[in-house]
Order: sequence, then C-alpha cells, then structure tokens
Amino acid sequence: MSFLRHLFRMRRVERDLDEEVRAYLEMVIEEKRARGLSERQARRAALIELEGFEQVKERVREARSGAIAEQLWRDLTYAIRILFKHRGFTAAALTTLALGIGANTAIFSIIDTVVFRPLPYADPDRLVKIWGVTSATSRADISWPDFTDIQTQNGVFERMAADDGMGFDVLLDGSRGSALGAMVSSEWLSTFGVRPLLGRTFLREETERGADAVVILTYSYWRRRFASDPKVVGQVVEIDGRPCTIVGVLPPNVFRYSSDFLKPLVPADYPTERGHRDLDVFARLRPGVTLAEAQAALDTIAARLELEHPATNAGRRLTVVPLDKAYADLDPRTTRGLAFIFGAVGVVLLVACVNVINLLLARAVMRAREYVVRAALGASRARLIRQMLVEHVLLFLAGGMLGTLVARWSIDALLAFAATSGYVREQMVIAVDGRVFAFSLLVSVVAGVVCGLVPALQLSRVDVNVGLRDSASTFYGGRRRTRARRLLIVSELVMSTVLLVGFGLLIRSFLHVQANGRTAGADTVLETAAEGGRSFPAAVAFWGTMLDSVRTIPGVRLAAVTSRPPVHGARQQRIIIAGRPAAPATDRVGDILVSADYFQTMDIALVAGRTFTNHDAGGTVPVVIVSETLARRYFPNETPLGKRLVVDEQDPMACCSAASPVKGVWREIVGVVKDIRQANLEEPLAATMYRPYTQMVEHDMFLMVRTDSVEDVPRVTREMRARLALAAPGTEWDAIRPWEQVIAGSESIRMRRFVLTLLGSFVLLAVALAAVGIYGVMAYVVAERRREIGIRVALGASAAVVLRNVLTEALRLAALALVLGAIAAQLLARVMASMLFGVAGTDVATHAVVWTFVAGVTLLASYLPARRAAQVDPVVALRQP
Amino acid sequence: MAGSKSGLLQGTLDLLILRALALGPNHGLGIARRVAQITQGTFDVKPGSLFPALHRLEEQGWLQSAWGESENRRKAKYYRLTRAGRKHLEAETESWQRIASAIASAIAATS
Repeated sequence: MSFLRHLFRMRRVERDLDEEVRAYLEMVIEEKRARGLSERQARRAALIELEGFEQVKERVREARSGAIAEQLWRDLTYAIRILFKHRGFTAAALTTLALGIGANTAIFSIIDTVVFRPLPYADPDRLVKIWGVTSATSRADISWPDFTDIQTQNGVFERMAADDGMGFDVLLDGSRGSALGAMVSSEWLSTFGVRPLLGRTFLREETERGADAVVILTYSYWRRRFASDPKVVGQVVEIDGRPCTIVGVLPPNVFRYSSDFLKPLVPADYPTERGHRDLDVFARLRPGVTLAEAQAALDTIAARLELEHPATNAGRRLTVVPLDKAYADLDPRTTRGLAFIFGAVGVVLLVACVNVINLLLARAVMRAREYVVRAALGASRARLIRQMLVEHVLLFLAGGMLGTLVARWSIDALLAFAATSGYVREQMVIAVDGRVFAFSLLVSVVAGVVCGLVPALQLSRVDVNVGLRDSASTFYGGRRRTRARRLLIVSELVMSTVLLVGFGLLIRSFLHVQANGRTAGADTVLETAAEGGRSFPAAVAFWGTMLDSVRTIPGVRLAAVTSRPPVHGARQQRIIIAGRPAAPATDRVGDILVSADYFQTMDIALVAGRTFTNHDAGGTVPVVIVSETLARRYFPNETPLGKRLVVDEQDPMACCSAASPVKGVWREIVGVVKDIRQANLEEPLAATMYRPYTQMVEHDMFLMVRTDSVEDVPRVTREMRARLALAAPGTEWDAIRPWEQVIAGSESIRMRRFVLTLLGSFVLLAVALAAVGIYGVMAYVVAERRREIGIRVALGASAAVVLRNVLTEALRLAALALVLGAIAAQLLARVMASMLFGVAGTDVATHAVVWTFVAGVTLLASYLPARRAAQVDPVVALRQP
Repeated sequence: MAGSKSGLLQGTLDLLILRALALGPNHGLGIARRVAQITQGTFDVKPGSLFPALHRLEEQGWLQSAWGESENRRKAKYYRLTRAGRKHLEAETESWQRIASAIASAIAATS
C-alpha cells in the first residue's frame, strides 16, 4: 500500500520540495551578492540559472516513482473541478453520451440475453426436446400415453418431462383475471435441473388427484403480480375456483413461453387418449449418451408404438433435438434483425462521439491559454496529453453511467414492445446487470480514450512563445483545425446518410410486404374461428347455421367458411394427376377447405372456370379449384379445367372429418383462381387447391364476413358476437378481428415493424445528433469569421449574400457527405440484402428522398448561424480585437 | 542541459553526484558546485537535472536526506551517501573505468 501512503504523503513531500528548491535559489542569490551584485540583479541571475522554479519541481515530480499515480490523482481532481466549472459544456456532452451509450447498453442487454447467454439450466448440453414427426410436420406434440411409453421403454434418458400450457381464471386480492399456466409432469424441474428461487419443487404425491392444489410462480409473474414479495411462499391464490398454495418461485427465464405459473400435471385428470397430442416433451440424456444413440432408441420405440397402436400411431416417428437448437432455429431473422439494430445503435454512438469530439475541440480553443500557460510552467507534452485524456475519459465514464441509467429506464418499454413483435420471448426477464454494466464501461473507456486522444494530441502541440503572445483563437483556430472540424461534420452526415438509406430501404421493403397481404376492402372483412364439431354432419350443420345467422345481419354483404384464411398457412398435401405417375413425396400443395362464397368474400379473383356453388355438397361430383401457380406447375401448356386429380390423403385424418371416405376420390378441376400469400407474406406464391367444406371439413374452421362499408364494422361486430353466442351456446369463439389487424399481426409484418420502429428511433437520434453537430460547427465557423464577414459587409456585401455564402458552405459539406454516403450505403445494402424485399439497394427513390432530407437538415441546422452571420454589424466586428 | 534522457548521460550524472557526495554530505547547490569542481568545470549541473536525479537516487536507497543548516545558517536539505550508495558507487566506478578504457582503446585503434 506504499502507493496509498504516497498519496497521503504527497502534501508534505510537495512542501518539502518547494522549500528545498527555494533554499537552493536563495543560496545562489547569496553567492551572487557575495560577488557584488545587487539584490535585484542577483535574484534575476539566479532565476535564469534555475531555468524556472516550477519547471524544476515538475521534473522532480516526474522523476519520482509513483509519479504516475500521483499525477493521475492530481489530474482526476483537476478534471472533476474543470467539468464542474464548465457546466454547460459538461451537460451537453453528457446528454449526448448518455443517449449514445444508453441505446447501445439497452440493445446489448437484450442481445446478450437472447443470443449469447447459455440456457439457465444445469448441464444444458444434455437437455433435449422430443417431437413427434408426421408427414405434415416434424414438430408435433406428444400424447400422454406415448410420453409414458417413451419414459418406461428407453434406456437413454436420465429423466423426462412433459408440460401443457393453458389459460386459468385467477382470483388474487379480490380481483379476478386470467393467467397462463403450465401443467408440468412430476420430474419437470429435476429434468431441467432448475432449483426454485424461493420455496420448493413439487412433490411426487402432488400429482395425485386432489393433492395438486399447489402452484409455483414464474419469476416474471412473481415480480409483476406479487411485487417480488419475498414472503409469497405459503400464500393462497384461487385458480379456477380452487384455493392453491404457492410453494415456490422460479428463477428468471426458466420457462420458455409466456407462462405465469406451473401446476402439477395430474395424470388421472389429464386426457389419456393416444390421439390427444398436446404435450411438449423434454428429456435429459444419461451421461455419455450421444444424440444419435437417443435417436436410435426413439426410432425403436416409435416403431413399436406404430405396431401396437396402428389406429393412432401409423406413420408417426419421433425426433430428438438439442434444447438450445429446438427453439433458436425457429427464426434466423430474429438474430439478423437484432444484429442490424445493434449496428444502427453503434452508428448512433459514433455520431455521438463525433459530436463530443467537436465539443472538446471547441472548448479547447477557449482553454488554449490555460494549456499554453501550463506548458510554459513546465508541463511536458506527455503530461498535457495525459491530463486531457483523464479529463475526457472521466467525461465518457460519467456519460456511460448515465447511459446505463437510460438503458435501465428504457429496457422495460423496449421489452414489452419486443414481445409484441415475437422478437423476444414474452415476459423474458432482461436485467441491466454486471455483464451489461461491464459492456457499458468498456464502451465508455474505449470511446473515451479514442475520442479523447484526438483533441488531446492536437492541443498538446503548443508553442509557448506563439501561444503567449497571440490571442488564443488565432493560435488554436487556424485553418487546419477548422478543416478537421469540417471533416467531422462530413463523417456525421455520411453516417446519417447510410442509416437513412438503410432505413428507407427497409421501409420500402415493408410496404412491399404489406402490399402482398392487401385485400380489396380489407377494412370491411372480419375474422373469427371456432371448433364446429368433430363429426362431419355436426360440423357441416354447425357452420351452415352460423353462416345463415350472420348473413342476415344488416350490413353483412358476404359470409364464408374456410379451414385457413390467407396468412394462416395451409396443410401441405401430395396430389396425383389422372393419367400421370405420382409426383415425388416432397412435391406438395396447400390444401384449403372453403364454402361457396369464400373467393368473393376474400376478394380472390376467378381466372377460369367457376367458383363453388351450393350444389357442390356431399352427394354431387367431387370438385376442386386450383390456384394459378398450381395450374402452371402441373398443367404448363394445357387448361387444367376438366382434368382430374386425387389427394394423397392422410389415413386416418386427425384434423378433419368427411361425409364418406375421401382417400382415392378423384376430383374434377372446375376453376382456377388468382394466387394469394397463404403463408408468410415474404414467401413466394405457393400452389394451393381449394375443396368445398361440404365434402370434407376440419374440426377448427374460420368464419369470414365482409360488410357493406367500414362504418358497419363496429355494429356488425357487436351483432355478430351476440348472434354467434345465441346460435351456438357454449361454443368458444376466437375474438372477432378486422382483417387488417390479422395482416398487421402476421409474423413478417410484426417483425419488420419492430425492426423499423427501433431502427427509426435510432436513425432519428443519429440525425438529430448530427444536426446539433452541424449547428455547432457552423456557429463556430461564423464566429471565427466575424471580422472577415464584417469587412465584406463594410465593402457592400448584402445580408442575403452573406447568408447564401454560409449556407452554400454547409451544402458543400452535405454534398460531399451524400456522395460518400451513397457509396457506403451500397455496401450496407449488400449486407442487408436478405432483409430487403422487392427493392434494390440502388433504389433511386429512396436515395433521392434521403438526399433531400439530409440536405434539408443541413440547411436547417446551419440557418441560425447563417442568419447570425448576416446580422454582423461591421462597425462592431471590425473594432473587436 | 546535462539532464538528457539518454541512459549513458543519466548514468554519468548519477555517478558524478555519488562521487561528489563520497567526499561528505552536502546540499543541492553544494553538490552542483562540487561536481563542477571535480570535473574541472566540464559539467555544469542545472537544478532542472540535479533535483530529479537526487530524488531518484534517494528513492533507490543510495542517498539519504535530512534538513540541516548551511554555512550561512540557512535551512537546507543535506544529502548523504548510504552504505548501499557507497557500494553502488564502487561498482559503477569500476564498470565506468572498464567502459572508458575500452572506448579509449577503440578510439586509439581506429585513428
């Protein structure tokens, strides 16, 4: 701790040194006087010989060990004093930095949790997800009997877990609400290796019927509804009318989907039909067991189940996937979008840094004399640089602290927003914690050193003689320095241009995607859905009644039923054309069941043939209508009308019921309709076929209604709700949603809107910072040229000419920036090619708008300084030193 | 200035200070004057070099300082060679003599 002692001793050492050098000086003076010089002459000669009192002391200080620590301490206290003294400057710099670093910290904390952090489970490498595989999907849920069979028949898993999420009514503190709960099998927590944050796990006997009145809260629910009450364990909540005791609280982010609590899954109360598949199944591999071995074991079990239960398990396989891959690969666009946003906030930080450098340079001019005096008093160049660096890094660190606060405040809003976009798992708990703080600290220090070094290097090049003689501004102003500041402005404008172009291209892409989902009069279409019935006659009768009851509502023009409206995807089936060999199994088309008025309701134009009529019901000739893409793919050079096809139907059908056996039924193509985006709005148009729902019906169907006008929508919605409830008592209907809302809620629109909104706010921030920067530099340039402008005005230049001169100069900078920005934007467009949709990176319209915008902002930001220039009074300006 | 940062010159100044103090304790000005005297005026040590060197040597443990009174009853800081300093001086003197004679013979050989 000799370092600390040194700091404390500093004062005494300092006094000692002063006395020592002073004594030396006095002795020299005495010597000189002894040789006959007068007191004054002797003192003067002695001082010359000494070569500066303070300089000698400074050099002793530098020679001492621990000098660095001592000087750092001195620099630090000095820097704090200076920052407090220049309050305006400090506030401006801190605000800029807090915004720049805060945005980065917030986005980093999200990316860190979503992308980088390992799953919060013990030994996550051994955790796997088990899915059912059918011809239609490789991510099917699993039934309870299948789960228990896998559990008892395998030798590869240490433990297995199953869960099923559902909604519950919750009565809490006298207020009733709904919450999402998950029923978990008895070894769920131990499979994942999760220990409750508070309380205990479920006991084995709590999966017995009647003993399950216990609940474990998820971290987010505990925080949200119980205000993180540490004494929550033991309290009682009423769930679905049953008082349940809270026995534990989970750590953050343990549950993968939005869930509020866990309840024991009671096998005795759970549906045990093998065809009822609703469970998500997980397992922990035994140590040393590979994925391939686990897969082999599952293959054996699946084959055995297929043999033993052909009615439910024919054609069903099982697949095992490492847990971290099981959900992460759902959408690669998630990481891409986040990376893009991270890049954008990086640019915001750069612009913020450039602004701060500008501020530092501007202030340096005012402090020029201070530096000159310090250099004259013996401060070496390294010493000056170090002192300035300490000051600048301190400033950035303070900015970083504020930035972390900004991040903390904004993170919840950001998360709520991200959750609506599907970008981040709902209710994910993202903390601004040590890791995030370390990131923010790192950014601050690196930015502080890099940005602080530029002005420090420039300033430290002081020439004492010139500096003391001339006024500070001639010394530090100078053409070279102005050029450096102009360069900074250009760099800010380039960065803004690049961001704006990227943003513009994404907006154009968004509009294109949105156009893909556009239906004429979409604002008059309404959607709802229900389970009509599991038997064919019941379902068809149900939907017939529903259609009749809504059709008679005043203001309803059309009503139709469909298995999947656009954007909701489609079941994929293989078809065989009469007289041709079967297509390969991978060649599939979308399969939609619809009622007669579906095409008119959804505004899907008929291209050839006819649409369905009410005659296409059960007893008549089986018919089918195909989309243009299907027609082109299977009948490239002939008309599909009158041709026959057969659907390679799944047997048994899990989703549907039909009037009579449908396997092997040949259908005649009676019509061709326009293509629509049946699945993702960004995917290419897919081949689709439509069959009348009166020949075959899915259990769950959608009811689509088109009203006469937008004004009718609210009233029709109300009326519809009432009539449906009356016509089908006890049936649970999905909320009636306007079609526009369905499109807006579709995956790709939601994701793009999220990226755009975030990006938009960051772009705006960057442009605003750049505008402030331009304003600052132009104001400085004008102030510096006051005399020159004064002379010009005195020589007859009008205010308009002066104004124009300043604005022209700003525009010249903007023009240079725009050209550089356009080039850089091309590189950016290549990087973000995968996010562009229907627009090229060279899109002229986007560039034109951005150029106009940037030029406009530049003009606006330099207008005030320009006007001040135009108002220069030559008499005052010329009289000034 | 004799306080150039080059290693050779710094070593030289250290050696001269130690040598000057080998004759007895002295204060800053006294050391400067004594160095000038023993080098026949070749080295005029300025305070800008002298004081940093004194403080450095003290930190290395070769000198010790104490406040004392000068000949004119003025308060002054006196430096005195420590045991370690004396040992160091001996080693340095030896190595310096080796270098000096080597350089001298090198110069003689080439000229």
